[in-house]
Amino acid sequence: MRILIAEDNALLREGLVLLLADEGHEICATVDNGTDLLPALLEHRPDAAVVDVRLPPSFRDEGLRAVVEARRQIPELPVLVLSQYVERAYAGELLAQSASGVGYLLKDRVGNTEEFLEALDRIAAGGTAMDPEVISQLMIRRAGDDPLSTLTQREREVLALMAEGQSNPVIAKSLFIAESSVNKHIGSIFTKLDLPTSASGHRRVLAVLTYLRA
Amino acid sequence: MPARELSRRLFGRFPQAIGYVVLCLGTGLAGLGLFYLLLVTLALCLVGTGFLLLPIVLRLLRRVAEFHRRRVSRVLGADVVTYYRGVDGETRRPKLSLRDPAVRKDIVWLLAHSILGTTLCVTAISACGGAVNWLSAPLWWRLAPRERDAVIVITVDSWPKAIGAMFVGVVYAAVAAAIVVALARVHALGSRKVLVTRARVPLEQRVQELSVTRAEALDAHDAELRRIERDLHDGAQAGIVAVSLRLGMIKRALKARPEQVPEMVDATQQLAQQALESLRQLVRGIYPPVLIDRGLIDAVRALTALNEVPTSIDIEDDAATAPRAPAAVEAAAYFVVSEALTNVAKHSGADSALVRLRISDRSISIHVEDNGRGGASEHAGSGIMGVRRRVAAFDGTTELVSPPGGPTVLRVEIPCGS
Repeated sequence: MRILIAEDNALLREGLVLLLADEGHEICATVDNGTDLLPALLEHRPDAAVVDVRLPPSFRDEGLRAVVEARRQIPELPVLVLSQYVERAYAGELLAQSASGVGYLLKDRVGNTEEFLEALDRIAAGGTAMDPEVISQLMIRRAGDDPLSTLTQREREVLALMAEGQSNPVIAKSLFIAESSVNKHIGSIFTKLDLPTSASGHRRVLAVLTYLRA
Repeated sequence: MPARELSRRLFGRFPQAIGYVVLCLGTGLAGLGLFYLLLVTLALCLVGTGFLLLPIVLRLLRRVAEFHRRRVSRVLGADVVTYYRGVDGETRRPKLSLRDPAVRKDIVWLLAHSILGTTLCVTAISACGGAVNWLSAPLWWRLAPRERDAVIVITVDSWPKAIGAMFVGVVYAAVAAAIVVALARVHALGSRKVLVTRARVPLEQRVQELSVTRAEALDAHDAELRRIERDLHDGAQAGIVAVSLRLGMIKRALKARPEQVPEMVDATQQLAQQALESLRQLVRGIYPPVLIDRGLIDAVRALTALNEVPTSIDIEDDAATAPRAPAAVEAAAYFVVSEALTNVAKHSGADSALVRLRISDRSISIHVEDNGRGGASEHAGSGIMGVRRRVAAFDGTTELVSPPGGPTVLRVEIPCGS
C-alpha cells in the first residue's frame, strides 16, 4: 500500500522507510515538519500515514493536529500516530472523531517489527491499534470506579486487549483461551458495562474508550 | 628583556593614553563651564527659579560623569560603575537629587577634574610639545631661522647641533610618553576613586532586583529543562528507537535473507554509537564531567581546544589555594564560555578568539573576544539573553560590546558568593 511518513528524526525516518519498503509497501512521501504535513496528506491521500506527534517547528503536537485536521477533510484516512510518550489527552483527541483506521503507538513498539506492521495493516483495514501502555493507563485511572470493579480479572484482561484493537482470535491466542470463551467474556463485559454489542472491532474500542474517558 | 617589555608597555599604551589626556583636557575645560553653571543654578535656587534649572544641570552633569566613567573603564580595563539612588524602575530614568551621595561625588569630581585634571593634562601635553620642538629643531633652523631661539634653549645653527637637538628630542619623547601614560593612569585612578559610589542601594530596589533575577533564574532553569528534554527526545531516545527498529528488521531478515544480516548488523551498530554519542553530548551539556573532576580552568581549556575557531586562552588564577567556587557558579561560568564560543563559531565569522579567565576567591570574571564582524545583538537568538539571565541569577554582571565591524567582546563577572 502507499504510505506517507512524517518523522523529523532522520535516523528513524530512514529506518521506517527501509522497513516498510522492505515489506513491499510504496512510500509515497516523507515529511520532516508539521507545516508540510497537512498539505502532503491532502495531496497524496495515502493508504496509510505514519505520523510522529511532535514535529518541528514548535515541537509540540503539530503532527497530531495535522492528522486530526486531515481526518476531518478525508474521513477514515488511516493514520498510525507514533509518540515518545503515553498521553491520554493525545489518544482522546485522536479518537474523538472516529476510532476507525486510527492507531496510537509508542515509538518503542516500532522495534517489534511484527507488531508494528500488523498494527499498520490493522488500521489500514479500518481497525484500531492502541498502545497497551495507553490502555493500561486508562484502566488504572478507572480501576477504582464502580462499573469496572464489577469485572472479573479475566474480563479486565479481555477488555484491555479489546481496547488495544485486537480481534477476538488474537485475544484468544494471547490469553490462551478458546475463542468461544472470549465471546462469552465480551458479552458479559458489555452487559456489566451496559453497552450494546456490535460486530465491528473499532466500534467496541470506541465504546470502551468512550466509556473509560467518561 | 625587561627593557623591551617596558618599552612595549609604554608605547603600546601611549596612543590610548594621549587620546585620554586630550579628551580630559576638553572635558576639563568644559567642566569648568558646567561647574560655573551649577553654582549659578544653586545661587538661583535661593530665589526659587534655580529649582527649575537644577534637574537639567544635574542631568547634564550625570551625562558628563557617565561619559567619563566609560572612558576610565577603558583605560583601566575594568568596569567603573556607580549607583545612583532612586532609579525609576519603569523607565530607568534617574531621579537625580543633591541628596544622592553619587550626585554629590560627581560634583566633587567635576571640580577636581576641572582644576587638578586640567593641570595634569596641560603638563602631559606640554611634555609632548617639548619633544616635538626638539625633534623639529632642524626644520625650524632651515625654514624659519629668525625664530630659532624662541622655543629651544640652545641656538641651532649647524647640522651637528641640529642632529644633536633631534637626539635630545628622541630622549625627550620617550620621557614624555612615560609621563603621559603615567599621568593618564593617575588621572583615571583618581577619577575612579571619586566617581564610584558603592552600592547603598535602597532595600526596596534591591528586593525588586532580586525578584526579577529570581524569576529569570527560574525561567532559565525551565528553558534548560526543556532543552534537555528535547535533546533526549530528538537524540538518544530516537536513536535507540531506530536501533530497535533495525534489530527488528534483522530478526525478520534472519529468516528470509540471512546473507544480508552482517551488513545490517554493522549499520545498526553505527546507529547505536550515534545514539550513545548524542547521549554523551547531552550529559556533557548538563554538567560536564571534566568540570566536576578538574575544575573550571581545565574545563574551559577543553572548550577552547574543541572550538572550531582557533582560540587562545589566558588564565589567571589568584586563588590556587582557595576552595573552589560553588558548583552552580562554576557551571554558570562554564555555560557562559561555552555559549560565547558557540556564538563565535556560529555567527562571528572570526578567525581567532581569546578567552580570558580570572578566578579569585571573590569572583570569576570571563572575557571572550573575537575579531569577527561584530554587530552581535541580544535579541537575535544569539543566546546572550540566556547568558545574561543565568549570570544575573548569581547577581553577576554581563556586558556585551559589539560594534558593527567588530570586534565583539563579552565580559561577565560572577561573584562566588563566599
